[in-house]
Amino acid sequence: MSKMLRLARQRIRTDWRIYLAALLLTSLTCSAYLIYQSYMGQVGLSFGRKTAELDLLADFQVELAASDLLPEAVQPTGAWKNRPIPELKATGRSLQLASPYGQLSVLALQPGTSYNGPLPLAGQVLVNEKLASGLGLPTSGNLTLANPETSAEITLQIAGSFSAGSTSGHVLLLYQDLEPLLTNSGYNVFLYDGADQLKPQSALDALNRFYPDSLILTSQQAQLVAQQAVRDTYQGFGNLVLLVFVFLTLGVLTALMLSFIDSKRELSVLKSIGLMPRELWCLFLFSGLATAVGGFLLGVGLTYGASRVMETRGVAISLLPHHILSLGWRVLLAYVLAIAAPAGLARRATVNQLLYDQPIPLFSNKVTILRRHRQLFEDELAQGWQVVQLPVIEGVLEGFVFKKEGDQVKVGEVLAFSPGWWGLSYTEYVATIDGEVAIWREESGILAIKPKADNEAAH
Amino acid sequence: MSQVIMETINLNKAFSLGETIYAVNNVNIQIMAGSMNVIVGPSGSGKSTLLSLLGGLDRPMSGDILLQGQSYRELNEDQLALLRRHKLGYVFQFFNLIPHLTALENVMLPMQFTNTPNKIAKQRGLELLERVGLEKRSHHLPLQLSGGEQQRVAIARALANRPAIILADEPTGNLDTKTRDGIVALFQELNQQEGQTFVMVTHDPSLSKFADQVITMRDGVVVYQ
Ligand SMILES: Nc1ncnc2c1ncn2[C@@H]1O[C@H](COP(=O)(O)OP(=O)(O)OP(=O)(O)O)[C@@H](O)[C@H]1O
Ligand SMILES: [Mg+2]
Repeated sequence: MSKMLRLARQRIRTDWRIYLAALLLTSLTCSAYLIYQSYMGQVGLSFGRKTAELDLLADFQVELAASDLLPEAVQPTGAWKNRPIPELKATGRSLQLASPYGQLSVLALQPGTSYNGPLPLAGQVLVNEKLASGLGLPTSGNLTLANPETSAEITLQIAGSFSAGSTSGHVLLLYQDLEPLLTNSGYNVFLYDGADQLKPQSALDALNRFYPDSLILTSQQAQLVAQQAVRDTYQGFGNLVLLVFVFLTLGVLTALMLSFIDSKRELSVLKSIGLMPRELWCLFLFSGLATAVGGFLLGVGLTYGASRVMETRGVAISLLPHHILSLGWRVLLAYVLAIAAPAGLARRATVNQLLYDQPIPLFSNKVTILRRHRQLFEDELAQGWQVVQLPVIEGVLEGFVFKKEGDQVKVGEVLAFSPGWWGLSYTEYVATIDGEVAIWREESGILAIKPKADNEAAH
Repeated sequence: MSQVIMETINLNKAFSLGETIYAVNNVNIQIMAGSMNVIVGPSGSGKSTLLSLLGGLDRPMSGDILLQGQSYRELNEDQLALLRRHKLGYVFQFFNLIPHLTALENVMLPMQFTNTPNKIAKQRGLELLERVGLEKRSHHLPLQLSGGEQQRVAIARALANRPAIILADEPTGNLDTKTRDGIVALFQELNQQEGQTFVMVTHDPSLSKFADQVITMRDGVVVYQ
């Protein structure tokens, strides 16, 4: 075992470029797979199959009536995620706007909606006390707000401050004042009074009252819709991703075949001094698996590194144990498939085939009976003769005959041999009776053996 | 009396290169234990083909070889490998050493295959290198050795597992006269002092001179034995 390990190491050292290429291919495949899996995992899918509930950021999703239709989708803000089940009190919109005091969270409410505090008037803005003291906002004068994307600006009068316990950190204004800054319109914020502890159904009823013409989905329904959409988009793609393992197999196969071709001479020498085919398998397996493990670890490492870097940019790549596991066995499968070809060839090859670059036959078969034109030899066959036919193509015999008419043959003796296409296969013609070669016709390839007469055999 | 150690029975091997060549054609030969056998014949007469069949480096198309009564045809690839490992030593014309192993490591390799303890393998490896006059070159790589020296290492390697028979295909064919004489003397010594059986393909009359049996081939057929 240890000598095979040593030989495998030697093999890798000699052909290190080839093995390095295979290792890099493996690590990139691993990395791509893990990142893809992480992404799909985030939308609750794995290769088009649903694996988890989506963690949507809104409790409800409102699809507005045609008259209120949005030109673009509105992003849920996430601000009210994980809240107790609400009673709907107001609708409005929250977004981030630029101000001379830095970026501000803005909450714009519909007039007439209720809010547990004073509502601003048109053209006015109310400032959260904590925010005001934190940012050094004045509680009077004007405040200019700008949408950084469109550079549109509005200037509102600071009318005062309010104190809000839970929904701290924003400025409050009326929806209509915000409209000049918006590239689209719509509502994505539903404020509610947590104290009321109402059931989702009553919140839904409230929404329905507010938007009688709209389609309103609960977050569960919205999840289904969202997942269906992702699934429709990625299902085919998910299966396509499995193709990377086909490519990996082909890539590794190519690498290992190259290494095999490169090492034919050495393998032939090892075989000539008695390396067993079984050990040759080990040799290929070890050098292949070392590459697989190296590539796998490097790939996982690279992905981990990438996830740390991306984390600082707010992109989450999650490395989950079951993803790593499923990757592991896929890589293993790819390698075992890829190793099988060169190892199988090396195993089957004779020393001379390796040493002199001769074709290595993959298949062989034995022929003992006549398959066609049996009626021509009906009598002979009835008398227990053995008849075989070698291939004759365009008048040329495709094979070698080792007997001539009158030669004695014994059971099990190879009478003739015909190489197959490209040396990929060969056929042996084997005697099944003791007897004498009675017929050999080169033009038709017919070879017939007459059984030894019983009285003769008795001698 | 000495006995037959190896024999062939109706051995055949053919090639087709446009025309059919029966490179080894119904060959029946016998090799006596402890004898020096030389195969001679014109180029292309099938000497190398026959020798590689004897060495199990290639499979005959029909016929059989018996080594100490063991039929090659009955062996599967693993068993044939074991036979090469334990009973045969093969010396190639072009040495065929493993390039990244030192002379000593090359000689030790067959012993590692037989799971000889490393210490013993090393000791025997050094003895064999000394036997072929290369004790000072044991840590050199093949490329750092001359052709004659590489061939000596190859001979030492062939001897490693005390094979029943050593097969050599033109072992001196690639060497200058002086080096050749050294190798011939070594073979003679091994044969006469240690009773090592040899079957050797050669064009070299100095090797045929002390042969117990000269097998002459022509067109795949043994014409004189
Ligand atoms: N792999 C092969 N494919 C096709 N023909 C071959 C092959 N090996 C040998 N032959 C043919 O078989 C015949 C015998 O070849 P072989 O090498 O055994 O001759 P040889 O007696 O060793 O000759 P030399 O003295 O030149 O080494 C030759 O005609 C050769 O062309
Ligand atoms: Mg030759």
